[in-house]
Amino acid sequence: MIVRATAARYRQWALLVAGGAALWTLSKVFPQSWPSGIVTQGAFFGASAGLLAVGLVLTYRSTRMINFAYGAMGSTAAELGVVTYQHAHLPWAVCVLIALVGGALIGGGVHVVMRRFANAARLVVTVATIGLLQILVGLQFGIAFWSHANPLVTPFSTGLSTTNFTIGRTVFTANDLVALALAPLAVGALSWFLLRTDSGTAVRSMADNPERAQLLGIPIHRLSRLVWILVGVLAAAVMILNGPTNGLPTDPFVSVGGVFMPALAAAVIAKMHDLPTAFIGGVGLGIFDAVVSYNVHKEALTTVALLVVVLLALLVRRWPTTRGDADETSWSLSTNSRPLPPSVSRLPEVRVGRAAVLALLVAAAVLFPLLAAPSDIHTVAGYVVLGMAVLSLVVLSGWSGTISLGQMAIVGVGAVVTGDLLVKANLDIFLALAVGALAAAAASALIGLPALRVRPIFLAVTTLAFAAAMDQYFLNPSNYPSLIPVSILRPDLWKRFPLGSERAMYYVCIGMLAVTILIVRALKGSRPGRILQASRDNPRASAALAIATVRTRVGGMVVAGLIAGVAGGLWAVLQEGVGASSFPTQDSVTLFSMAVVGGLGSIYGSLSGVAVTEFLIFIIGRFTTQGTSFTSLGTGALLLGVLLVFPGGLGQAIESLRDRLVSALASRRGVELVVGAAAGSEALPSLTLSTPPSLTTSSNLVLSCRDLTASYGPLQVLFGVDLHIGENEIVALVGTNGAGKSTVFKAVSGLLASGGHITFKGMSLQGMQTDAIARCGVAMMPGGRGVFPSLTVAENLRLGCWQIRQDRAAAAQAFEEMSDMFPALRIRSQQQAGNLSGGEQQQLSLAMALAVKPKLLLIDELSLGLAPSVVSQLCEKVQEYHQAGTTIVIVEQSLDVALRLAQRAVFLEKGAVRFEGATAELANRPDLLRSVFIGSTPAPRDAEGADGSSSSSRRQYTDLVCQGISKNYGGIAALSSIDLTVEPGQIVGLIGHNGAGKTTLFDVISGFVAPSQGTVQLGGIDVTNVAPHHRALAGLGRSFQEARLFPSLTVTETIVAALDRHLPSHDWFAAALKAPPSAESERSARERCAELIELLGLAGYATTPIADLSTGTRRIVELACVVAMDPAVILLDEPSAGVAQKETEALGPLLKKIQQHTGCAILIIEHDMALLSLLCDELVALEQGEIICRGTPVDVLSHPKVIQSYLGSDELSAQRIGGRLASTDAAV
Amino acid sequence: MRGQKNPRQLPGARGRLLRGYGPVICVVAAFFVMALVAPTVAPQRLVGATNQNTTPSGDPGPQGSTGATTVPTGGSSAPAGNSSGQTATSAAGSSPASAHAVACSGLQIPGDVYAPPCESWSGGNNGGATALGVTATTVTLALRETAIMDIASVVGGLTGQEVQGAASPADVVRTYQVLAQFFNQHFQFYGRKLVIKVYQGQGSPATEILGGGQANATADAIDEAQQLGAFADVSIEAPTFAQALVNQKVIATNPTYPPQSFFAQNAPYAWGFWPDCNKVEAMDVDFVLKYLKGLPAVYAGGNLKGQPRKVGLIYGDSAASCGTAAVQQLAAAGMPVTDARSYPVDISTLQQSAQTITSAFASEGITTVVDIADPITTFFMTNYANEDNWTPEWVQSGSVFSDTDWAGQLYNQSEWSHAFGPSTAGSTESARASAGYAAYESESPSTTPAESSVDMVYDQLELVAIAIEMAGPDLTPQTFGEGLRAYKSDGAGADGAWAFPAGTYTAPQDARIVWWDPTATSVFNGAMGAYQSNNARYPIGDFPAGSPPIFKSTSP
Repeated sequence: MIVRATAARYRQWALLVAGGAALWTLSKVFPQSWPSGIVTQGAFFGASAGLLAVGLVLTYRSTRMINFAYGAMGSTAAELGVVTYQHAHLPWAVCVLIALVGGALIGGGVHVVMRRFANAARLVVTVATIGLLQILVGLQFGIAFWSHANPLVTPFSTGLSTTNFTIGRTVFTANDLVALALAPLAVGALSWFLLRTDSGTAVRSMADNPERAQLLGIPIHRLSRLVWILVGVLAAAVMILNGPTNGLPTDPFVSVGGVFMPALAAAVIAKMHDLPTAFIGGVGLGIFDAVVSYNVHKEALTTVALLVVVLLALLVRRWPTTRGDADETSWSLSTNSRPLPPSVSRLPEVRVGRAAVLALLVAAAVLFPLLAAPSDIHTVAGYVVLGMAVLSLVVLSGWSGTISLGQMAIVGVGAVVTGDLLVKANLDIFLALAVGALAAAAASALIGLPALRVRPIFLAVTTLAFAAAMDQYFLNPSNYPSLIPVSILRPDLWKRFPLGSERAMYYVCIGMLAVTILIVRALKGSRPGRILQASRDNPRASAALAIATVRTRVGGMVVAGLIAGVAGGLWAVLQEGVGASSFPTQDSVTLFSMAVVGGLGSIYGSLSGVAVTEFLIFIIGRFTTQGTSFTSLGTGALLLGVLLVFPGGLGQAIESLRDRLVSALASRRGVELVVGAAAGSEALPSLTLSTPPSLTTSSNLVLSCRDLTASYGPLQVLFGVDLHIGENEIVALVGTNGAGKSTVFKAVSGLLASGGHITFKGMSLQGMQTDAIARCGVAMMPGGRGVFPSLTVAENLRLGCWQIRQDRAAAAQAFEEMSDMFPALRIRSQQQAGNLSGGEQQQLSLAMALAVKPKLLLIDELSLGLAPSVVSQLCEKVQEYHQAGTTIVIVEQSLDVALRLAQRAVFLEKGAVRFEGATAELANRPDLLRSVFIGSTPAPRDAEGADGSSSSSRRQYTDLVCQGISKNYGGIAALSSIDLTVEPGQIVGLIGHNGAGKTTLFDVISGFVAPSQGTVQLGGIDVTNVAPHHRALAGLGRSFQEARLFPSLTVTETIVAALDRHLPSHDWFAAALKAPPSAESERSARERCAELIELLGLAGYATTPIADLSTGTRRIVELACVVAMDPAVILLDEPSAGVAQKETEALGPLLKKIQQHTGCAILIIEHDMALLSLLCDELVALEQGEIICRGTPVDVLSHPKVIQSYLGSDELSAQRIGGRLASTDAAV
Repeated sequence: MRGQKNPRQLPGARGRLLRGYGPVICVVAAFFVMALVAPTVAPQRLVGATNQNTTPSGDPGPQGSTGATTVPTGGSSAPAGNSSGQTATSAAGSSPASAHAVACSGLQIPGDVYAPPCESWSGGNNGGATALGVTATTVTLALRETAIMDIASVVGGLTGQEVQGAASPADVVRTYQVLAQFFNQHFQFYGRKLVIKVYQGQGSPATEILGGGQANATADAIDEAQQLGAFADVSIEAPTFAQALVNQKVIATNPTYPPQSFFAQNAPYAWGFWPDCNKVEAMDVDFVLKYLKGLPAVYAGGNLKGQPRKVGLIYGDSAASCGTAAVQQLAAAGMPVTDARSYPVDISTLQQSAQTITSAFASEGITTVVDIADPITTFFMTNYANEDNWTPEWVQSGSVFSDTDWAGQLYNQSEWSHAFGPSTAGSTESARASAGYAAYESESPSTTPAESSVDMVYDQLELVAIAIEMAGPDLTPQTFGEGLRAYKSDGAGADGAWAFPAGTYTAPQDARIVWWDPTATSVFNGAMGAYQSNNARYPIGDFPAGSPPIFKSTSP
């Protein structure tokens, strides 16, 4: 792998050299079109853009966000240097140094701000950088203002300017050479830092999984500061060294639209990943820009050319598709507005309050124009139209997750088309608005198409380029004098009410906004809103539920375009024409900022964002003469301030206020508001505490938690937990799903702020940073995401040794020990960890936790998703470490594992300790060890159709046939000639070692991965080349190993989404109008959903967002989804992983029953042999992508190869299979 | 796989009549019926009224123009008269009110060549409220107060330069008020007085001069039309604001350098004393063809000096029609432009545009830049050119104030020392020696005007005053326009000759030739750098042949 990476690096530089040679040749062959001087100048300029791109990539790789303030960081620091040079007349070299120091200080300052956003979604942080940009530009102006210097720095001479030379006819100075010399040095040094040093590796790990990095003792805040300082210095260096030749940009949107745009484009070309590619891309773009500008005599056309390049770069490049790259959730805003619980919204006070607020708003809207001056009415009407434009962003960005920084350009399309129809055809305004909206929708879909291939965040770049091209070229009356309606006569409404009156026009705008709000609300509450959010949150899971994710996202773009188009049409009529610069690029950025300030997911929040931002701009404009600069400062500060206090924007603030009021009201009326884990009226079992002998004295306590409380936002999860762990104990923390076990670990390790007292070896851990706790000797292996997906296995392991990295020999030894302990990791040491199987990732995660031999080891789900033999091995390793003196607390769903490892068990339920004592005692407590979800409710009517017949009687039996399936990844065979048939109604289990290819086979069957060879047939039809959602429509259901589902949807919404293929109406139009087809469809779906919620005991979670659920509870919801989808063939990927043992025992009978009722076929991956033995008609065992054995469960589980490679022959494995078989039989 | 029947479909509206879509279909049908029966359309008048003959004397207007503006009924003006023998009457000769207006001899202000012919008013009915902003006793002019009201400061602010002698908003407002009194005293307004209503504007000239700020500009225009009831505006009227004003049917009295088509499309609501860009272009073409064609670039610097001329032309997108016309005319006259470049007039890209254009011109070996750009772009270009050691001839055209001393002082002086070209501006004189200053002093000797703006304010108000007097008692936008059509200055004054012959909407009729001297002291503000000229004026498009009178003695 190293050889391959080095070769790739050589290829890049060879490409650069070859490109240079090609350009030189072109300049000789076509000197008129490719003058060597212009090409060289382009390369010089491009080198600066490339360096900025390098800084952007570095920031992205350490924080996973796009830093829009990057250019401004550099120019603000450079302003310091230039002001000093021009006014204090210090030597140029000293001034450059001052700028670099300034860059470092600004970088450090930015880090302080960004640290406040440590737990915010990446999108929020990205938007925060827009606020930062505005503040920095204000500061840059301030530096000039306070030092009485010219804020606009144009080219100036330095001592180096006298040394010059000419290429072609273009003059270059030594200033240019110095700037150029910096480029390769900076790229090389940064690449070396990032790729070759431990700190660089740690920086990359921070971006992948900051919590995990902290758990390993990596001081992420210190490293983050280092990165910000580095990029600050780099930006300052680029700007100050280019100052003599190019001057400095001052306007915030010069930074975005002018100098910064090529850098951003280059970074995107480099996929925000590869530093040399970013640099080379920047140089290429610089040359491209120079040559285009030279040959095209219309400057505005260069914006079009840049747009084309960016679009092509996004469309043509291959984007990574590793499992590690699949994490998109943090790009979405998890702050979607949440409705009040039905029990509360029915309260008369709430209803009256709502009506009163609505009446007030309506009265204010109606009365305002009767009291205000015409110009104020006009201005407010403009805000109303902006409100409509913001609502289009709510749909596009808030729900669909597609970030648009060019929405005003879409508004402009609507304005021009509507205006033209009014002026040229004197068409009815409503018809004109409709046509304008359609045109805008077409533009929106067209520009949004690249978002279907890349991460939605990258669409920010495309839309920014689109906005610039539209503003400067396409919507420019000079270019299209006959197309742009510069003057529009307002029509008379229905020939009766002249809209020339501002009052009448205002009422029309208000009316249109009201209609838009109603439509957007209707969409949000029905299928379109649901599937848009689902597709954003988890495209794979959406497709598996038969949701056409591509069509859905295009649908979102079309709806957003329609709304923006209507807003544009109204804008044109309101302003009585469209002028040059009516829709400038910066307005698009401002509009997006408004939406985020308000809260992207919230309709009313985003509208309040418009009001607050415009008010601020108005106030600043009114009271200052330095309008732009202070407006920039003010809006930037507002944006940052709001995001810091309310990451979900003003909508979140309004919602919090509402919730407080409602909570007070509800408590007065005795209405229960508690949701989730603490919900339910079931009485808790009485406590049975038995203090183990080891804890009689406090001197040998390693960990002590007293009265521990913790919450996730408003949801309290822990209620006074007491937990005491003695020296050299192994304690099992067990409990029902959602009981708070992992939360205890998070509290102890400092990942979650908590109440109460936590001490480690007598030292209070309260208030300590996670990395500091880790350095004290507390290691935690998190459940699930425990690795850094974009790093190689070796890099992951090296980071595991972070705390001992200074001692090279010890670190190397630990590395070797871990590699020996987990041979699979040694084999895959150069693979990206994100590409490992779930089980291998689990091994890697444990290896990283063990590497530094911690004093206290917290293991969250040791056996999660692991093959039995691996579990046995791991148990041995854990015991070895225990014997070596490590105290261990283990959260475990498998009682068998807990029994084997732990002498003592602590049982949690609903956030409180319900039992503490010997593990063996716990095994005899059926009152505690019971299923609270599955089987806790009466027998289901699950399989009955609307007509009362079971679906099995109506379904055409469907089988699944895989023939000769092979899949190769880069020459490595993940699957080899797999032949597998699942007959109708059959249940087939798929077993095999972690990494054997089971999930890959599922991916091939469900269409997410194309096989290298072979075919997949469903019900006799070849579906090999059919898209996943079409397979799902045809009756193929699927669950996923990680059970991530849709974090921003509630449980009810998620299950209704799973019913999608059964909905009688998929019509967006009907949904927007709440027409009967949609309303009735929704009603039926919710009724069916309510049945399923009852069936699976999820009533307490019905309105809880998936993001707030524990892994086990999510599994239950996923099961509900599979049942809701009612497929003919179900693929279940480890349905019991993370699920409490008693739930797992109840799972088997439930699945069996479902199968019997529906007649479906099931293919199931599982490591719980008891479950498989009970459930399956046939088992298929895989080893290294090949089938090694198949047959009845008894035959397969006794097959020597299976025992040797998979099950293992130790006692635990036998116990897990045999013991569980007995208990599961009993459950049946 | 598509279209496969789903056996588990949930109950819905499928079985219903029209599948439940009845209400939707009804709403859509109602929508179309409404559009057919009572469509919401513009009133039956054409959008963008144009300049169909606005003078009874048969001014044909520009070719191809159509319009729906009502032809004024009161007009009877003869071709412009003046004191040197021609008959001069107002444009409202035949209205009932005009019976009280009697022509008197000479000019309204003796000695002021720009004053209209003398008119006396015997009192009586002047028609009262003949138009928006007009009553029997007042004509309302709106003045927008903004943070910066001095045009030099607007441009200076955009280039980050401090303009010496720039005036504060309060000074500028006071100057308007005092000079309005002056014109009320000395011009004939038929029983009316000019009333300047000042209001706090939302817009910003600095934004509008680069094409932005549409919403605020429109709000301000609405304020003027609906709140103040203004007949005309006398503020700084950058293109965005000027368009908003004419949309509101408020007369824009001085838009900054739009193309002639803007005036034509918005007649009779837009007039100006600064030239439109077509006049600028005509002057430039004439200048280049007369003085530069076929000759080496003797005024260039460095190694360009004496090279065969290669012309580069630069213009903003907002003046695209003028730029392309210049290119075509030069090519047709046998002097092709080597490279003509336009750029978007957008603050966010001006700097970058200037840089790339400078590089391209330098690379192409352009010796002569014909500059129809805005002063901000020129400011950037001269700085980049200096950094590139590229010193071409700069043919300045007077576009957007580039022929004023304060603008020239902003530019890189070593570059601008190679600048010369035509200018419609009058000879630069000390503010205190100007007609405007004198007028102000005569009205308010105890205060001082905004020195940098007093002349501009005077010219602007004089244009309005001329039009109102020439319109006669029946003052409407139409008669306002007719009045200007009927007007012609009594020869050339400090600002040259003024007139508004058919098809034109801006006052300048002639131009002089200037060059830049970075070592001279400007009489305008006392700072270093000033335009020099022999002050000989020639009709636009009719410079005399021969060697250009530049970089020579300043005696005429």
